[in-house]
Amino acid sequence: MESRPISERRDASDDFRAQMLALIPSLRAFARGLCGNRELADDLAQEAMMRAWAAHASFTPGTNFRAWMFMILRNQFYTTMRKNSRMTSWDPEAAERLLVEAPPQQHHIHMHDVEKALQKLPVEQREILMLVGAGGASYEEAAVITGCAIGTVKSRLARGRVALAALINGPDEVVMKKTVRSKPVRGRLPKHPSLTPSM
Amino acid sequence: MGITTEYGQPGRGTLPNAWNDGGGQLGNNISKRHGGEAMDPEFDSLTAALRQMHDSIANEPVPDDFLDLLDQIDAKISASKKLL
Repeated sequence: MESRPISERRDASDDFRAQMLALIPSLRAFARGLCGNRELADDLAQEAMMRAWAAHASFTPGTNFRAWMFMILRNQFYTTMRKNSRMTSWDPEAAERLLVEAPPQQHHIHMHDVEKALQKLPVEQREILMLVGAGGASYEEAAVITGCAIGTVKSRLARGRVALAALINGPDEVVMKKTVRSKPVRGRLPKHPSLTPSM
Repeated sequence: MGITTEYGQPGRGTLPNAWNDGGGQLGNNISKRHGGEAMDPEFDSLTAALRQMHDSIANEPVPDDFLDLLDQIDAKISASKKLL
């Protein structure tokens, strides 16, 4: 491989640091959405930053730095999740209990309910909801970060939305529990076109 | 029933989008939908809730640990420059 001029490498290093600084808020948010715990999420984000720095020579300036950083963070999350039982993981029994509980007797659902419900989803759906739904990434970027096809991103997003709506709204909003995976919940949580995958 | 979100209210304007320069999908579409035209009554409250959750974290002050880490990276950058 042809090495770049020294001046260009210097600029790249400065740029690398600046880009990383700008990304910290988004990295923290993505990490928090993944693991559901502030301290663990910050540890995860910092670990990803250190790994990114260690591997910075492999990053090609001008390419999508954000996607590259998110990919590192995501890989770190899966590595840590395998080692750390404190990390939130898909708990079908907990989700089942939540689905059969009576709906909340209130007219507004707060952010805490959304965060709580999000953590009940399979991590594959949660990461897509965090990237595309929460963070505003495109399908293409989410596909790069998660290493799956765009069609898979769309289907996980669609399933994640339905499951999240079901968890938030309670069983009344899910016509039948068995239909959660295939039948969208309509009425109370109308879909935005940008999150309605066009297959 | 609805989700209590700042962005869930009609007329709040465009959403900040951390991915705008990367061709972000959600924010761009919402911007178009809010671009001076009548509000869509079917504004997606689920998306708004997710965005608000994300933004509430992203808007937190960056902990000192992160800044310390960046200082360490700075030191490494400086050290590597000296070697060049």
